[in-house]
Amino acid sequence: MKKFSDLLATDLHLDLVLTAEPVGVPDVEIWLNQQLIHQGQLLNSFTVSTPLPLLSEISVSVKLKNKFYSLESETAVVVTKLSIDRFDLVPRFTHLAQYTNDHDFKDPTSYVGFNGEWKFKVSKPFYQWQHEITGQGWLFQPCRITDIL
Amino acid sequence: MKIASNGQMKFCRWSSVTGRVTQDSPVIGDIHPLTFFQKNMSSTRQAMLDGQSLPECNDCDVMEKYGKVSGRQKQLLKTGITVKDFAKSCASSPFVSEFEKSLQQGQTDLVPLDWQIDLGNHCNSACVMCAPASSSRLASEFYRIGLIDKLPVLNWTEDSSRVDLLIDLLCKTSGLAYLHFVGGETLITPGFKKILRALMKHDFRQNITVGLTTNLTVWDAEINQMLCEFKQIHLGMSIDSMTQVNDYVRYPSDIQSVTALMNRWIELSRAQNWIPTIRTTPTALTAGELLDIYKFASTNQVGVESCNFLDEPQILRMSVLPLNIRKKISDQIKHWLQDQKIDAKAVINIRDPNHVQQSILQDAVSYVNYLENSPDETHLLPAMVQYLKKLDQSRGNCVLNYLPEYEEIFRSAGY
Repeated sequence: MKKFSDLLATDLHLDLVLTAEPVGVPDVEIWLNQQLIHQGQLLNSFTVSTPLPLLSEISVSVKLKNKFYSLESETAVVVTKLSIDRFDLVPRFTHLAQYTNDHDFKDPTSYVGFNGEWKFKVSKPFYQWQHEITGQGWLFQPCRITDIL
Repeated sequence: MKIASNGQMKFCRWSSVTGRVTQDSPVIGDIHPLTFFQKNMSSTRQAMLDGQSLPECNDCDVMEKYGKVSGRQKQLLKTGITVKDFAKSCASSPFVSEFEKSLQQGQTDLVPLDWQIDLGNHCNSACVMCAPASSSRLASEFYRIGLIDKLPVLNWTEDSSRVDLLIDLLCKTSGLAYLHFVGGETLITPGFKKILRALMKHDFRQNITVGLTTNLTVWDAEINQMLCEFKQIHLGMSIDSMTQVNDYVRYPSDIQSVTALMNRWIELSRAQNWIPTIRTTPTALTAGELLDIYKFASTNQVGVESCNFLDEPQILRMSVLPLNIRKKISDQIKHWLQDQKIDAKAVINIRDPNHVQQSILQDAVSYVNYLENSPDETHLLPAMVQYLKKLDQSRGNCVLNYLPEYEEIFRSAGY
């Protein structure tokens, strides 16, 4: 790409990769941008690799359900990989995930061992979000004034 | 956007201001700075969008060639664009629709948010690598000894109508983010206080970061107090050697008082949560001093920013040094780097306090690359020696008293 007009003519997207590993046989729902991509017992490693629109918000949700703590104390689902355009969000940015669960466990983790929802949200265009979370400094916004000239 | 010391407006703070740029830019006040930004910069904007390489961007091209973080990279980052992920980050930038609007005519209705303001050449130093346009003291000396036949035009900041025009624009720019002031010596240039005072009347001063570069010979408590009013201060401290070599190149400074003042600035910066940075201008005379600068910066966790690989004066470029000397210097820096842990990922936001050490190391690596790979320009050695001889005669000084290790090569070149 040499010219800006080339950029406008190029179809750009993000590449998301998500891997979830079972511990035991967890009952799991996995959602990507409000779309259910897995439901039920997770018997093996689950990986999804998919393109996403460049500017859209991204929401990944992993829910653990129906765990009986007295019978299956080890059962869990572990998000071992979540990357966008090869930029790893787990484990480096695990602290940005929201984990709501029935044990009120709040420490940053990608080990979903309690019934509840682990959610990772990118609430603005990914590259703007990446700019912020990696400490790249200013991100200017266009500014206009009308009463000078 | 930049205002040069003579008042000429430039499209970029990093754009070359040396002889290579032949097209004269208009002076602030002759046209309104917003007109320059919105309309006069149209051809530049269009050329960039068309993917053309501009001669004014040469310094950045050279920096990137040798692995130095360039001004282009730093400025792009402020709009969310990275060179590494150029297409996607550009398409994701908050400015992408503005770029699109500029495609046809090159114009924009935006206002500049990031300025470099060269206040003029009012300066108490006469650094050997400086130019009359940036130092009144050097200009007088050059005129006296016949190196120039006329003095530079009057500083634009001495014309209050031009300063008022700029202040009016700045004070109406609610999204104003960064103002970097350069002299001459910034702290003794009256225009600096005037602009700060004007900005202090506005609430949005708390959103503005002020940058300034000082030659470490001035301490002005009143200015320091004013600086505390702003959101953030980026303090550039000019020094090229931790020894008396600095006294020679940054004539007529005194290294004892310069380092004392630098430590005072660092202390103040720590207290105020400012970001202090050592601003070096490495030349053939100070290439061998760089390692001590890096060590000092590393020990004190102060960043190092050498704006570019010296372009002008050409006769003082490091590449004028014989290859064996360049190799010796680069080997010393490499030896030091061996004991450091260098992150492969480039730090573009060099003002990030979390990445001070890495930014120091990557600057050091870039100078190793430059010393080892830049073209041989030893043919300029006689011209450098002639220039230094002339200065030394004027100043009752002798470069060999400061750099005895250069005696042989300087003598062979006519010293």
